[in-house]
Amino acid sequence: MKRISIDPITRLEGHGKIEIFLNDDGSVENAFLQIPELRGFEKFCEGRLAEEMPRITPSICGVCPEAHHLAATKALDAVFHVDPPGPAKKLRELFYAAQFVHSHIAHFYALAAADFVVGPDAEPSVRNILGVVQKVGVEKGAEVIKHRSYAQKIQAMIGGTATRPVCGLPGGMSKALKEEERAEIEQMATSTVEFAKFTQKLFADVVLANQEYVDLILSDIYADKTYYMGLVDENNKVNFYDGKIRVVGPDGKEFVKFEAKDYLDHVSEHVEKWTYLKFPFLKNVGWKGFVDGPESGIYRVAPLARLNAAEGMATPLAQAEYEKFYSTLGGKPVHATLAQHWARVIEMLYAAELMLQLAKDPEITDPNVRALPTETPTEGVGVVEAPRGTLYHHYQTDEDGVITSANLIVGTTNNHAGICMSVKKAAQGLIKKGQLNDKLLNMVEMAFRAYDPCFGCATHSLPGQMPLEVNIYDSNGELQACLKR
Amino acid sequence: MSEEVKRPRILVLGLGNTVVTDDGVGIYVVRRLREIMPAHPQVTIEEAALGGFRLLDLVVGFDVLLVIDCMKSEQCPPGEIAQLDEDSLQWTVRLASQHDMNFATAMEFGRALELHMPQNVELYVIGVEDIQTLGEKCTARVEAAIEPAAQLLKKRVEAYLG
Repeated sequence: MKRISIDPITRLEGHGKIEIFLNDDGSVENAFLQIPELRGFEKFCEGRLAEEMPRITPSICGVCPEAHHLAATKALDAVFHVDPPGPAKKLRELFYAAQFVHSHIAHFYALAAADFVVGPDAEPSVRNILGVVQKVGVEKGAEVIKHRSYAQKIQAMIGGTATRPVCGLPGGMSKALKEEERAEIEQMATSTVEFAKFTQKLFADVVLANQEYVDLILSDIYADKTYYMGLVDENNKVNFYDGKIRVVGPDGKEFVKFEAKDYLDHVSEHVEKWTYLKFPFLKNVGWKGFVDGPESGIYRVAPLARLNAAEGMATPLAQAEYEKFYSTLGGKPVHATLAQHWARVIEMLYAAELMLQLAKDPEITDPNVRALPTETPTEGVGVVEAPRGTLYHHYQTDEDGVITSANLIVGTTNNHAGICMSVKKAAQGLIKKGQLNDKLLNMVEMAFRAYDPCFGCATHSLPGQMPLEVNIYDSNGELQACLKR
Repeated sequence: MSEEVKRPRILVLGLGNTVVTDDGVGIYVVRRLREIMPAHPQVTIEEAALGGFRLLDLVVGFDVLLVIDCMKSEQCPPGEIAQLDEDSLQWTVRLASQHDMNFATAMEFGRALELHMPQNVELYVIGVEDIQTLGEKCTARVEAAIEPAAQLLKKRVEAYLG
């Protein structure tokens, strides 16, 4: 048996790249984000039975398979023209609230907290979750793991497995929730609400109490005045699972609200020759390049966008935090990209409260979780809010239910233009006279990381971790520095 | 205490993605392992397309962790089975710029929290040829490695069970 030592990046081909071009003064002229892409997933889906989609589409993402599973399942409801019974919808929502808890805990504690709890200029060797544990203590670290596990367990109870859900069917769910499962979920949800409250306090104590961090969040280099998109319920409150898609302008006013099935009337995709990944934009505003403002159709999605696109949160504790968020950051909308982190922990609290609320709902154990489809399948769009933003699945089938066309727009793709713009602006604000160092690089990356980008499914690429490379070129196009993470 | 309780709890974890040609080989190996090894109460065989934190959620509570994954590297030609050196994991202990954390960081995080982490970790890889094309079948050389890799894991599990 051969024993080998490997370079950490060899498992995957290609790198995520941020390419920064300097001018004669050593200031940033331009910056591009490039991601290796695996193309053709939609084609791969064609010719398959539509019912396979909730099983196959989660395969393109190892980070949020649950979001793809539900978006695919909702698209199938539409394809087969079947409306799931109320208890099935509630069960899906409970399952999905657990997914948000699971995902948002990971991002906040594994990634964001390192920049704030340990510090943006700390050495990379300690600017990680191990450094966070050293700062907050082993006991709190164990709480992180415990509540991640709770969320995982709830997803497994409802979803069928801990890693790849199989619960969603056109017209409902594969099985109902038992009373003993419900009681256990209620206990876990109660504890998770407390943990989410602790996380709000940690954010307040560590980030908001430090004026330097608040100034950093509100700094111009991290602000982009774009449109914002998110799902809202009938009261315009944030909803992860269902509702209408609401878009607000850079002034915070409603620009449009539409049904999922009409998304192509409102969203178009711009193509650039330097990347295969497309740039969705608002069709009725138009593509004006990588610029912000009301004349540019660039919109953003994900936690900050969801809060901006809504008029509040549907649970009391999250609503209180929502109000504090806007009063602290200067009113609606908040354009500060780094405020994504705060928005994310507010959503964590909302998801935890929602889990508890649904676990106590008498209908949640109702065995009526499936309406059998009886109509000929045609076409359908399913939309959910994935942790990383609005996720569209659109399928067309023949009369036998075989996929003839599929289109997916994932959260990170929706944010692609915004991420590119944020990276360029941060680079322009931070890199002066060609001066480069690790702290500056990290601060450029913070603009990128705030989105919690997951190119695993944006590019239909492989799950896992993709290294990032930052190349800096001088005004002659010569590579001046290459920094690898 | 019964003899069975003294035996270690073993997790065999196949990693990969079955819609990306050779990337699914780790999953195919553990599926084959399930066929050739009788079920045993101390042994859990799991397949996942996950990384980082989500792997940690899976491995806590086990004494032995055997991982089978794929690798694209000149050091490991397509179809070759290799065991990764412990130092290779140390290489990657850091916060990368992308989502979540890597496997080694996740393991170290678990240990830092004094969770019950596997004491014995063996990481096996199969060299792959194509992890860029969508497809639900491995290329020929990689396909041929599935059976020997499953047999290797069976032997390792049996060695731990004693």
